[in-house]
Amino acid sequence: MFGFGVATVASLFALVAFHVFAVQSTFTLDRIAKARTNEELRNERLRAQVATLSSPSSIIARAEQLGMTNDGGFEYVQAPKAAPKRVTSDASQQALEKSWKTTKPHLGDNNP
Amino acid sequence: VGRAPAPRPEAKPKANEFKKSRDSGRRLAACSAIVIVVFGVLAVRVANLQLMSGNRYERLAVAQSLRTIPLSAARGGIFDRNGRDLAISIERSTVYADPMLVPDPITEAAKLAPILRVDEQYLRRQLSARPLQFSYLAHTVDDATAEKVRALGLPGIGFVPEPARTYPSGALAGALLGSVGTEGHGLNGIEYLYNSLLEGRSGQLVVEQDPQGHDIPNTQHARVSARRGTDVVLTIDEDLQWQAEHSLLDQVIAQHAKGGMAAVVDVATGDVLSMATVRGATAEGAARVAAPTERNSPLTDLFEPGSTNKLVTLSWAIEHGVVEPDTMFTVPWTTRIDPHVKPYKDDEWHPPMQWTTSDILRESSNVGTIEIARRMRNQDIADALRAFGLGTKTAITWPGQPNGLLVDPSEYYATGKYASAIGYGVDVTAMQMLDAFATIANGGMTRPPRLLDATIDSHGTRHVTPSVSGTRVVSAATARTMATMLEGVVSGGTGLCAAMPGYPVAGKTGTAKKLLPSGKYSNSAHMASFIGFAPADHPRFAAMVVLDDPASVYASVTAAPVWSEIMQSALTRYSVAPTDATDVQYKAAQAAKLPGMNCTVPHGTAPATSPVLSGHPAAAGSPGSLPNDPNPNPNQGH
Repeated sequence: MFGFGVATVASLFALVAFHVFAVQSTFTLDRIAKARTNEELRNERLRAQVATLSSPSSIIARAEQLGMTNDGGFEYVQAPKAAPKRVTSDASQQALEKSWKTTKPHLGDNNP
Repeated sequence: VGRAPAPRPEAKPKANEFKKSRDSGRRLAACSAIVIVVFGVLAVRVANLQLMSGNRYERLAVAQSLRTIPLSAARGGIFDRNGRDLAISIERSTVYADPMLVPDPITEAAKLAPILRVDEQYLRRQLSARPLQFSYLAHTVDDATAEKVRALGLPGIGFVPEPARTYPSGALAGALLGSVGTEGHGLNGIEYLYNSLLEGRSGQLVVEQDPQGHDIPNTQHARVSARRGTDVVLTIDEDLQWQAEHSLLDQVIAQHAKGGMAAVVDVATGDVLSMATVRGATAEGAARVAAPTERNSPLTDLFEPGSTNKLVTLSWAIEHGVVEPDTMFTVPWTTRIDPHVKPYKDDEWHPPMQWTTSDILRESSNVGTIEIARRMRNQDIADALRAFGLGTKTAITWPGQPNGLLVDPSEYYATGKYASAIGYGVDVTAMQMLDAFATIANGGMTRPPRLLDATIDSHGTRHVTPSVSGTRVVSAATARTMATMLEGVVSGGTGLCAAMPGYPVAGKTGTAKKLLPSGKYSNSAHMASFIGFAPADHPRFAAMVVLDDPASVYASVTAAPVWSEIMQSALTRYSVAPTDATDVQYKAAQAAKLPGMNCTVPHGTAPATSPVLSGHPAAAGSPGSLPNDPNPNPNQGH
């Protein structure tokens, strides 16, 4: 009889303790969920800020603030003249010439 | 004396006890009966409540203690091809009032109006709207504004979170991206077109609450998670879009044009890298990039292409052996098709010339093209237009995109064939014409344009949009021939200003008089365009620029310089190696320029507003033309 009473009391205590633990865990979960939501919101805001600051119009505006101007044109740097012909074996020379003509047709007959 | 007491009767007590016993038994029975009856009644009632009315009371209990909280789905983002944000949703504060708790609406309205930038009278009405307990004051204000309102500490003012659509690049690609309404639904552009993907699926959370309405922890009954909207990845390149918009805007301002359109496509993939719409200055305001609520003109606005359509006529004529590039024609500066119709003319007077087909294209001769068209049947012209995709929507799905207008060849009458051959009596969108040039750039195969590169679902999985396969329109040999002829236009013809160092350019100018509502062609208003591709020998990009009624009548100095600037940006940005190291075409174009010919786009020097356009409507695109006009008689080529 005594053992039964002890078991009952212990069970009730365990039940209450479990319930308290469950409620505490729920509060913790709520807190974490809220923190996650806040961090997600912060991330979204920072993402929007990054996108705004890296947009072309922002960059141009900042550049103009710094006194930079658009010269309105493009400068293309021409490739330098080919290097002097190297002394190579006939076979490798032929292979080089063939490769050159295939890959650099726009540079004409200048051999490497 | 000595009388003995009478003996007590024995039976009497026994009878009393029996009686008592019998009474208590009765009482017990009665009580039991009452208890049984009471419990029976209760049992019946309980059974009645539980079995007969259980559902009703359960519903009432649930309604009293459970609360359903809607979980709104975050709207998907819109990205450019490089993953840069073009549109994102972030949570902002919406300011509301509980009018029952507002003691002094007039004072509060006066304090709030300058911060919220809302009309004070409107705020007064909202703050005084008793017996309501909720009225909106301002939707999705930024954080700084919300903080200022919070700092005022006004009674009856509260905040609720609400998702707000943000476009980090501001007005960039406004007409393309569109906008979202206060309910979170897309209203225009991409936001509208892909709304079902972007808006996701709302969820809900059901929780138990106490009599005061507070949620009771650990009592969650049901949860349907919200599903985030799908992200949309466009083929647009943000930087190139900016370049296209600003080159176009500067020229629209400089030329006092009513508007302009520009687009760049990748010839190999059909990817649309930029699609710009600009509105010209009006009495109401300066020229600007089109707003989200306005039309995305390259896909929606119809206009007569003019001389850019000669590409279609000549490609078909060469493909079907009607002419060769070196076929010789005698070309006077004017020709009469029908005695009842005014003669067609070239743009400038010239003596009768012996011109080849290439020369006719280079000089953009209307009369020469008409001479070529004389050798073609009505059906040939109609087939050519259809084959290059005119009269049919482009492969891009877009709300309000027209098919374009083509005249049935049976209704060409005397002049329809010739008018169509030089780009009149044909209504197209700018993207349709760009498609036609991209077909030549792609070796004679159509390359259907793509605007949607991929979607990214709520799990982060990327689904690439497949390319639509093209169809052959002309042979590769014809396409090469046409590319060479179009190079001639830039080397020594009407497209000099499109030439650029390092890259040979193939392209064509177009200047078309605008059709007036009266059915006659305007003598002053016109559409100027340049469409082409580069590098001409290994085409990588095709682009178009169209200006609505620029000050100069020559597309060669209005549209071509903008085209060149945008194309140079595209080639440089994508590290396309120069294929004309000795600048043969560029030097030839420089040498062929007339004195004083200005091929630059004036950046930031033109006034922001145009007095020339004061009082004019800000309509971009042409007002359209009669599809079956037997006598367009524009008398103007180029």
